[in-house]
Amino acid sequence: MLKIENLHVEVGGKKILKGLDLEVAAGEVAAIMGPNGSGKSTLANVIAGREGYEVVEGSVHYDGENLLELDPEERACKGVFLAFQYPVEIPGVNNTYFLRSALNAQRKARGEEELDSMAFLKTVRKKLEVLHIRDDLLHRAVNEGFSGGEKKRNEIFQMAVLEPRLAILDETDSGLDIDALKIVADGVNQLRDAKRAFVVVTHYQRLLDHIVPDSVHVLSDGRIVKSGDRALAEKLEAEGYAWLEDEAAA
Amino acid sequence: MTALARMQTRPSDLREPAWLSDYREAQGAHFKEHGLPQPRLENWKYTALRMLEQHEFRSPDPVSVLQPEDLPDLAVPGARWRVVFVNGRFSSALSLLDDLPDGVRVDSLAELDEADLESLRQDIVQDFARPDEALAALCAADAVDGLVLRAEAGARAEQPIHVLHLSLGQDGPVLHNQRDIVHLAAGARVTIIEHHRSLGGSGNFSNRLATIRLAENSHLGQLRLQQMGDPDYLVTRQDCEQAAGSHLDYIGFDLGGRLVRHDLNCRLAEPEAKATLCGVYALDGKRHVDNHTRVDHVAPQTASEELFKGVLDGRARAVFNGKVVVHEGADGTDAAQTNKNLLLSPHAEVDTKPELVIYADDVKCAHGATVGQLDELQLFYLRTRGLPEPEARALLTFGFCREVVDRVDNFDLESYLTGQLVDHLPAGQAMRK
Repeated sequence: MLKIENLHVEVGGKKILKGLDLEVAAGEVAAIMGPNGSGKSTLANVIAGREGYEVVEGSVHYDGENLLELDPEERACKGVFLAFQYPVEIPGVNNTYFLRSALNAQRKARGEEELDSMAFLKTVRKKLEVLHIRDDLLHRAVNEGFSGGEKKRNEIFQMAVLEPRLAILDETDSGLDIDALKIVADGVNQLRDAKRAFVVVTHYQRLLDHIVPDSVHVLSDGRIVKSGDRALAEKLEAEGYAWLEDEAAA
Repeated sequence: MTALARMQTRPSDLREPAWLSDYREAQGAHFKEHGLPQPRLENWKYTALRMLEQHEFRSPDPVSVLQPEDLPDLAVPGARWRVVFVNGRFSSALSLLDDLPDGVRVDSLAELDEADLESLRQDIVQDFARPDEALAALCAADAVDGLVLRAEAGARAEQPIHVLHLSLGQDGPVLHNQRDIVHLAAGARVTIIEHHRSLGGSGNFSNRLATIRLAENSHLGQLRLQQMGDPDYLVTRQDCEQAAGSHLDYIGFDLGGRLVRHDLNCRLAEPEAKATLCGVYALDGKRHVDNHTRVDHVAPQTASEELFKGVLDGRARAVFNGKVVVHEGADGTDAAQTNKNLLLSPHAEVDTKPELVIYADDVKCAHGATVGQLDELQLFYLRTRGLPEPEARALLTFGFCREVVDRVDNFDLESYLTGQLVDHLPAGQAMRK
């Protein structure tokens, strides 16, 4: 579903990704782990289409299509979703209005009928209930004045409503207590099926106790240096990243 | 001397008390002496009126030819009563004034009898002698009609009164002056929607002067919706005198016009008086909107709050000048002022200036002004959710103005004004679905 080949990315003239290769199949949950500054967030932002991330070499294909040629909204309409590491506050824009506009923009792009506000609210309330999120979230401005945990929950809630086919979670677990972490994991696990894929970018193994990954990839200095299964994440948790660098040096 | 400075729009055969004709003569002389305010005057530094001198304005016809069936749909939802002025003259045919609440009176200044006029003499005979208030002098000299709204003690209008000012050309641009008087007696509570529209848009110049007097614990809600045509000029000035515990709650929506200037003056003369002045201006093309506010905190324990937000596109220009004067002895004054602007084009311009003059010790005065652009990260966030870029921009722009729109506490009106505002925002159509 997602195929990244020899990806080189610069941000502000600085080389961040240096030949990254990654393949994620439909139905797969891939975990990306790695030390600070290894390029994890850059990878997430490039897939979502953020400006300022210059692809100097390599390619990113999604369902065989060149993703790098598409605007962020086109990517979204094709089913790509990014859960932000730092969700953006948008004062004055109501969460419900925003999410309905987004969902309808996506439905329209896919040739589906737009939802009126009644139908939308019905769908949304069901999602909130399943995720155990309080519905006062609907009446507030997007992320404005939200605590860190609330912001992350709002990302997962948006993901649940938009039902993407490829979801990138950029350190969604950072700064979360165990209850919020479970909400995030539930959100992913409930959407998990044979047609969807997830790229879970995380610093810690903790989240992977709740979202069991099919593959684990270690990102270091802009490249995937090791891939494995769940056991790799456990080894990283126990031993840190230093042994990988030694291995790479050897 | 320019054509405008030689003009006299009032009919020469007015039958009025001598004090009023004398007053008109005196004010007319002030205007002839000073002419249009020039940019060298501090209060007009950023608003040049030169373009007014290029026009040959006509005097308005005394009687409106408009009939109800000529009117486009100008009704405002939630407003039960309507007072209509056409080129500064009251139109009985277009107004809906049946069943006004007990104690609330709406009259046409031109139709008041001599005794009634005498009772308003103190409000009328204000002297506008300074060069920077020459347009008020012109209005005082030549306005023959206007709104006279009076509410007796304790009277309440539960629904807003729609005051519609229509401007239309008469084989060319027209200069019309209008003088309004609003009196609320103790405890009265009235909300007006002051609506400025032009039919066609013929480069008219509307010049308006309002005197407002709020007795103790009265409350005036004033929603101003300005939707003048592209070539039209509008200059307004209002002086609001406030007694103890009274509240002026003003919210302005400036969405049109070629050149618009508002002077909003409040004098908080007694304790616990409060002025709330809020405004949104959404401007494109070559529009120019200037809001000058002045709040005089004369008595202790008075409060003022100002919040003006603007969105500017194209070559639009906005001016905000907020003057707060805390007089000696006005301890416990609480004054807050904010002006925030969003520039959507490199050619748009904002001049914003807070002016605080404080002669008391125990006061709380805060002010802040910002000029910025749309946030790229917010834009990216919305787009990653699937919103097309124009819609994302419109949503952010509306979100920026929202803080002021939220001040409108009547649900019907808020929805209506939201719609009007969205229509005027760049790419606002993208939000209208």
